Amino acid sequence: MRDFLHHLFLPRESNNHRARILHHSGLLLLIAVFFVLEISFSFIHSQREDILGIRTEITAQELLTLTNKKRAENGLAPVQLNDTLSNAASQKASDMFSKNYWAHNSPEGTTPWVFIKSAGYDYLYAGENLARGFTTSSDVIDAWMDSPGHRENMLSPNYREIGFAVVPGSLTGDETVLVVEMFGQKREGAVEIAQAEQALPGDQTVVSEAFPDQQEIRNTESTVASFKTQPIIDVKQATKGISMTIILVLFSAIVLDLLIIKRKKIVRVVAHNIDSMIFLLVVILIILIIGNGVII
Amino acid sequence: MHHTTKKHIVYYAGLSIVLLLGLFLIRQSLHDLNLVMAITLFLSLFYVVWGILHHFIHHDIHAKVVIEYVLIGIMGISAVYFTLFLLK
Repeated sequence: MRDFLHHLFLPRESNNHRARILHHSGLLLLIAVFFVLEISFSFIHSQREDILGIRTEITAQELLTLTNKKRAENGLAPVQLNDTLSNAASQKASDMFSKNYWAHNSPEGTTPWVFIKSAGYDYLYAGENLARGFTTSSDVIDAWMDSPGHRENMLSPNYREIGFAVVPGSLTGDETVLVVEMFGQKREGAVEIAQAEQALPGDQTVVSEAFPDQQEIRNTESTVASFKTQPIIDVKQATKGISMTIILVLFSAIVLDLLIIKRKKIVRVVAHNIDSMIFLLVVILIILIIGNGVII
Repeated sequence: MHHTTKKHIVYYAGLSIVLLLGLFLIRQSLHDLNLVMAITLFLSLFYVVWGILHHFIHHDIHAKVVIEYVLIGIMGISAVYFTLFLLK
C-alpha cells in the first residue's frame, strides 16, 4: 500500500520520475471522477432532496433577535417586528423573482418605498437590506454588519420597526434563498413633517417631498418569514469538500514533484510546475468563495 | 537554479496577475453563477494558452506538454463546475 501511494504521489523510477497522478492517465482519471460524481449527485438531488439538498436555516425570529442584539451592543433601542413591513418585504421578494432581478430598484425603476407604501405603511424613515445564498441567519446578519452601508441601516436610531421575507426560488439563473429586510418608522399623525427619509445601503439618504400614490401593488400573498431545509447531506459542503480535496491532492503532488525533482536535478519533458501551482491555487480560491452569500 | 527561475519569473507574474484579476471578477459576480463559470472557462483557457506560449518561446514545446496543460485546465473547470452545478 505504502509503495502504491509513493508510486501515485512521488516521482521515482517506477513512474518515470513523475507522480502517477500527474501522468495524462492520472489526470484523465480525476476528470472522470468529477464527471461520475456530477451524474450521481445530479440524480440523487433530483430524486431525493431530503438526502442531498441545500441546507438553509434562516428565520425572521432569529434575524430579529440578532438584529436587536447588535443594536443593544451599540446602545440602541430594539426594533419591533411589523407585519406590514414583512408584507412589503414579501411583495418585494415576489417582484424580484417574477421579474428576475437582483437590485434595490426593479428594471422598471420601482423603488423599495413603493412596496412599503403599497403595503399600507406610512413612513417617516425607511430602509432596505437584501441578501441571498446564505445558510444561516447569523451569516446574513454578520455579512450586513461587515458592510458599512448595511450596518448603517442595522444601527440607525431612526428605525423603530422591521419586517422580513425569507423566500426560496430561482433568481438570475441560480437556486437561492432571498432575504429582504425592511426598516421603518411610522409617520406620527400628530407630528407635521413634510419630508420622508429613505436609505439604501451604500447610498446617500434620499429625501423625498411626498409619497406617490399608494396601492400600486396589492398585498396578495401572505408573509413568508422563514425557510428551513435540513437534508442529510448539504450540497454546498459536499461539493466544495470533494472539489477542494481533489484539487489539493493534485496541488500537493505538483509541489512534491517540484521539490524532489529539483533536489535530484532530473530533466523531463513536462509542463512548468509553477504554472500549474498558480492555476490550481486560484481554482482552490474560486471553490472557497463559490456558494458564499451576497448582499446589496 | 536561480537563473532558471529568473528566466521564467515574467511568465509566472503575468499568469498570476491575470488569474488574480479573474478571481476578483468572480468575487464581484457571485450573484450570477453562469458568469462565474464563464470567467472560470476564460481563466482556464488563458492558463493553457499562456503555458503553451511559455514553452514555445523557450523552445521546449512538446505534444505531451500541451496535453498536460489542457488536462489540468479541464481539471480546474471540472472542479469549479462540480462545486456550483447544483446551486444553479
